[in-house]
Amino acid sequence: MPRSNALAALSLADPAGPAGSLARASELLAGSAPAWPLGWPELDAALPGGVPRGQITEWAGPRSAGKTAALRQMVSAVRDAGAGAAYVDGTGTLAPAPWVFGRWGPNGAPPFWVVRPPEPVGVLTAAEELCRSGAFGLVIAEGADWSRTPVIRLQRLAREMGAALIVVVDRPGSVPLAGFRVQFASDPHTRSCRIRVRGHLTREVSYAHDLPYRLPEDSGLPDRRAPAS
Amino acid sequence: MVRGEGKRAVVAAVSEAARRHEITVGMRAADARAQLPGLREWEWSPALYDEVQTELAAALLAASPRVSRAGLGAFWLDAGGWDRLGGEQAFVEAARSAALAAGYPEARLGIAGTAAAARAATRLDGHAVYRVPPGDDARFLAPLPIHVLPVSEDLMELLEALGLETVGALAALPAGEVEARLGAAGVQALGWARGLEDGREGPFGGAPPGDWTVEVEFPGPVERLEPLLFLLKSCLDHLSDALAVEGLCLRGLELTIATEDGPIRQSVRPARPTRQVGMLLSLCRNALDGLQVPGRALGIRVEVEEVVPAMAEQADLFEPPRPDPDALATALTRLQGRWGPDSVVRPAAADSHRPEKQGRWEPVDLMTELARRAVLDGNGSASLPPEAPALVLRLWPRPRPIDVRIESGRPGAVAVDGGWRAVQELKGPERLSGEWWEDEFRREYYRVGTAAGDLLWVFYDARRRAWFWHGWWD
Repeated sequence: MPRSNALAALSLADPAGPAGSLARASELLAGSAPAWPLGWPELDAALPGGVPRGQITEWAGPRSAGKTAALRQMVSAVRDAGAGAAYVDGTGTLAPAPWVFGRWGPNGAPPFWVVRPPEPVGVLTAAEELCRSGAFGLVIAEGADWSRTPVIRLQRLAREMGAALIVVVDRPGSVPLAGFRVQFASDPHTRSCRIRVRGHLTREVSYAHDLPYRLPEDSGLPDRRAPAS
Repeated sequence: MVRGEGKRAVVAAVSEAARRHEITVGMRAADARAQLPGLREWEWSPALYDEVQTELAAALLAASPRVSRAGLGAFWLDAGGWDRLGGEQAFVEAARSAALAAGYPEARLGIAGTAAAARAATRLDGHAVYRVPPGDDARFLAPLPIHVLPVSEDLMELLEALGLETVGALAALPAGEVEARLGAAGVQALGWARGLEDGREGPFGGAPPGDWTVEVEFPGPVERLEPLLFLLKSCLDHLSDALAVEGLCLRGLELTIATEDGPIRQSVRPARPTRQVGMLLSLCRNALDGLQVPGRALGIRVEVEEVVPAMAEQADLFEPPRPDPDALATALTRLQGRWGPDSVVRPAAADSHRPEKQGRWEPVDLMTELARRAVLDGNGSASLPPEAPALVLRLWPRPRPIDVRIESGRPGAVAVDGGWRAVQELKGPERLSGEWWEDEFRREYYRVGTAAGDLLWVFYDARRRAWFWHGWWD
């Protein structure tokens, strides 16, 4: 087959180049960006374009500060970008309903796995396995005592595999060697959460505190359980 | 080779040349030196011996699926089914290459129908490889000196004392007479001499292995995991090569470790059919990690439980790249193998009046994961950045009892984290009840906002007349 016919048949267009040119294989690969954007422009602007890949990000804040809301948004954005996401839940408190996304069917989308080790010490093991597999662009780990956990190996795995590794803790500064730190604090008066990046007060993000429904709007469950008035 | 020191030093092993000068295993080293001036000695090092013999056994697994020890510096290789290995010549070349690669260029190979005859064939001078014609074991052994038989030294002394100089002389004796004079050991030796008994023993009982079975006896009993894993890898290499020739993969395998206190077995099932040695070794290592091994290990057998045709993965050039299936399989198998299938889950929709059953965790199934496509099965649109992202409900695995202070008939404060927290915002009650046919529940749920910023979900259980903390939003 003449080369011109092959090009016409493939019809791969380089968006940045003339029509009909073949895109390089590397350009076809998803996930070459250095960070995963959260999808909140103001927050992504405060971060280096999103949660950085290839390193550990400490995700700190007390209960109800909005850490999980941001993580859910993060998981959604990563899967939209074509990469898999995984959550190592060492606390056993992750409920399945909020993580069923309506727009992905039961057999669609890159994978989203939740690993539930029986003991907190298994959180590091699970995070390492997931990073080492290279199959997940985002790995979230919660529930370990990170002051006693050797994170160097995990840091190296994240760097080698180009994964964003988020470690969720209650108090800031709990994760030694974290390359990035994001701190959440809630303000029930203003119904917003403050997100501090690298110690600098940056953004105040309003969250949907007034919850007419139990589950998020894009949840995949048909009945979101409106509360009694 | 000398074991021990001073007056207690004894001969642990002798060369053929030393044996011809009547140096025997077990005699005092001082006596040996006196008997043969100029005798060269080396200190016996069991660890070094085991290490070297383990390496040789691993190399020999490339030639045969069944390797067991046959004494100092000697191994039995099962040559049965060598048509699958490429025929007799291929087997001989593989065995000699393995010995050469391990540093034994002068190794000898004897091939016969019985182990006793094969062993004797290695003692013939001038033959690196000797093949006893099929069915001719007894005729081959007959003219050979009696000491080619692998009998104990006590029995050998008896045989020599009876004037039996050749194997044929022993084979000619009536069986009853042999039993009467020499006992069970003598009867066994008679069987070897007549080419009737194999003459080989091993930790796996000498039973012929199945089609896809590899087994190896350790040079000596082992207590550590490393030599076991070293030989296990060689077993898996052999199996993988054999499966590749037939275009097959394995769906599961069984490990049997022969120990001084009996065999122990462990099944290993990869998440998907494979013959990748790296993955299989990792799975076997995980399986062995938590195993309690009674006594020292004597050998290992790897037996494939089920084979299936190998399927090639064909990726679509125009689809978004998918994760490496083997990488996913390895991660999933390791995690589920360690903590059970319910440890790696994905969220699935489920509707129920009971809040903790709204949605469920489904164990991840690898084949389903690999069949996924990046398809939007819903309304087909990608997500839009939320204007106000929603807080996410988190639930305790089981609702926790909680103290609630009632003020004016409604929750006024809750006891959380060791202290009382005033209720600043309250919504409810949301009354939920149902499942009276199996496990009835009747709850009044409240959304509690505290001054400290918590957004809690608590309920009053009308059946148990108590308050419980079910979860919180974050």
